[in-house]
Amino acid sequence: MHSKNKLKKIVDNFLIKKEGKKVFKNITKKKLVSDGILDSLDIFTLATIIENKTKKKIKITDNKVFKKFEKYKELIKLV
Amino acid sequence: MKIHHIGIATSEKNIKNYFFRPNKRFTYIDKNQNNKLIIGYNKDNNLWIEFIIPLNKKSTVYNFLNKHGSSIHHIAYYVKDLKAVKKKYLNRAGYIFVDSFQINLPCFGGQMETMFFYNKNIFIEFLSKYKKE
Repeated sequence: MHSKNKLKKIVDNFLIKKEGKKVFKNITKKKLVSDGILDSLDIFTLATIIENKTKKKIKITDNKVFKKFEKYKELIKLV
Repeated sequence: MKIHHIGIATSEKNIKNYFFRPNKRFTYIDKNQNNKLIIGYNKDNNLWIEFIIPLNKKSTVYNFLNKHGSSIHHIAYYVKDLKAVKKKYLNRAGYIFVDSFQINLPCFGGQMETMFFYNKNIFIEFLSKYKKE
């Protein structure tokens, strides 16, 4: 599977499990962290899932990487 | 690697309900992490129990406590060489580096260096006595 599609699937599954399908309404306009959809624990959990499934490292202590969790469009291009 | 302590996120009033609540307690305020720490020693197991009580919404355990309720927050291992441990896990998939900092905890032996990773929904702490370079 293409890595972007694979990552999108991981992110989508995580968001559905957490918020339900309603989360996708205007998802590209939402600020995932500021709007309270993702908190710090969710970011750690999601990053762990992405790392385990893609075998790619995510350095969330890097501010540029961390900011990508704010926007859905950026998040699904994270690795 | 020996388990040094178990960290439990809780509210202060809940401590009395824990089976392993300590009789003798050491209490510290961690202004950097915005937590109150109540630490007790379990002699039979040579193990410390660290109760972490959020002081405010900026606390490092505030979200955790809201989400999970009072529960085990982390398992801490004492290590001799913190840098070697960091090197080992920093680039390993499934280990998310969270933070590292120094903290003065006299009951643990004074100034400590500590480092947190998140792995499989559990925080792992590695700590070591602070050494001046």
